[in-house]
Amino acid sequence: MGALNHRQMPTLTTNPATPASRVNFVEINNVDFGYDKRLILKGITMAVPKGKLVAIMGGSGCGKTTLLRLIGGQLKPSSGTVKVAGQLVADLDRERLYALRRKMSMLFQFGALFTDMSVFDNIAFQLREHTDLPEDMIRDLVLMKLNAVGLRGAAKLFPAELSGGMARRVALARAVALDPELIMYDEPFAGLDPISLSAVGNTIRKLNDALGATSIVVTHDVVESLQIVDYLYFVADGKIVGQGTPEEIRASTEPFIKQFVHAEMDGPVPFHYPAPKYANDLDLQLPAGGVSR
Amino acid sequence: MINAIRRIGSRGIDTIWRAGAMARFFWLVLLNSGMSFRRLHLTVREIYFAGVMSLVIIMVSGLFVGMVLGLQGFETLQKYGAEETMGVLVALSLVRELGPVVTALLFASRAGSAITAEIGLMKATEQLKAMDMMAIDPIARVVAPRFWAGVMSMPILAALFSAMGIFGGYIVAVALVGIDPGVFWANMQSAVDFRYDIWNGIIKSIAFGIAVSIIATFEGFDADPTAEGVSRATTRTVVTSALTVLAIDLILTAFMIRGL
Repeated sequence: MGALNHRQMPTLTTNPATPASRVNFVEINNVDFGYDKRLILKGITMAVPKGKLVAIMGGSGCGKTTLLRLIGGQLKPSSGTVKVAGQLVADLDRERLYALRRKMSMLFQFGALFTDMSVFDNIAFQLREHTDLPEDMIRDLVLMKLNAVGLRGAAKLFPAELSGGMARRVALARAVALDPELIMYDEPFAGLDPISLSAVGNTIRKLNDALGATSIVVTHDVVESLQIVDYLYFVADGKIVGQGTPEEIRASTEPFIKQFVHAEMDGPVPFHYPAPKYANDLDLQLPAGGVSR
Repeated sequence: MINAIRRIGSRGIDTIWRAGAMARFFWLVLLNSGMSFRRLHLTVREIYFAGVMSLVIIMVSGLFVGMVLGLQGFETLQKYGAEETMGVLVALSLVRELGPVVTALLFASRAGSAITAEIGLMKATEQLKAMDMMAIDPIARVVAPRFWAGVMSMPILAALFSAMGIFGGYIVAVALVGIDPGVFWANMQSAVDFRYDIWNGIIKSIAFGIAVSIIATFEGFDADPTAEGVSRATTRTVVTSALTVLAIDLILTAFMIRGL
């Protein structure tokens, strides 16, 4: 993975972390994180400017979701700092962390809808828990949110009655129920058919702009991300290995980004997991001059 | 040999660790119980699922146990010509011992396992994490109402079990054996003491309610977030609850027995 060393990466312009660029809603500074002695994230530094839609991309298991958990305060970094809305997340006590979380929301990979509640009650859940709004106003707000994701007609259904795409859109409506300032999406496109995928992608962009929110999308869907986001970070082997605007990413010749964007099977990220020689594993005698992978 | 000792040691440490984690969890549940009483409908809803939905199994079991007690009691008592005290035997057995214990075992199997599976599945499908990210404490919103529902349901279910058992014993004694109904009730009334028998039974059922409810909620909350993990947690709830109930029963009975 030597080729993925971020120090060797080409410098891309318009890095939102540049101090003078904008006000950053999320700032991650030199964060390491690991379980026991195994580091999952190594020296991550990134910034998400207010009002922008930023994607964090990378292969499965590279630490993307862990980054979201660090931002949401569900995990604490081993070293480095995570700031959200100017507050150091790891230093907050439970009460202040919950106060901060009221400004953010998260869409989980599989929706995480409450299975014992109807679609309507799922959306209304936070409104009922966190506000004293009268029930008829909650009803109007829920129907507006559901209308925004095109599922007003599904209000009475239960999660078990929804398709994967519908469930994801309901989760989307629930995520924006309280008009959060920061919305985090964990693999919002995973397992969706092309129509649902496009619908979810467009809704994410529209909601971000309509609410004036800041959004972070963790995904490995290159095509959809390049269409909707303002900026992308690439994570591999726990490090940021590339970043840039969609135009810069499309034009990038950096091997990892090229491999990822063009879905090439082999490259800096090898197809084969490290293993002994294939021939040795199969107990084969190679002819003189034979090649073994 | 060394490996066997190591395995025993490892399991012992694991058991002690889990007991400590459960005690800490119990404390957290108590600390976060405010919502269960401020928003009583949350607890009432769980009382419906844990308590009301257990009524059939509890009442039918109570009836059968009471009838069996009557039959077994008759066989022994008639040897001494004391079959007229069958009501006393049935009532004391049920109110002091069988009512609270069997109800707790049935409650652990019916409601405890359901609570564990529900909370475990909520964990596996990230519903608890989602709630936490919404700044809603899952212990206060999900666990505490279920815990208190179990604690409140258990004494009522135990009382119903005993009542149905006594009714079962009455059917056997009066309809089958031919004991005079008045004698059946009068003997029972004079022998059963409220403070010593009924109140001790209530104390036992409250203790069992606390034990089963905290085990069920803890196992669900601590379950591995996989299908296999939830399945294992559900089994652990039933097994641990049964052993804990019987152990607590022994300790409480030792304290409650007069003249020891």
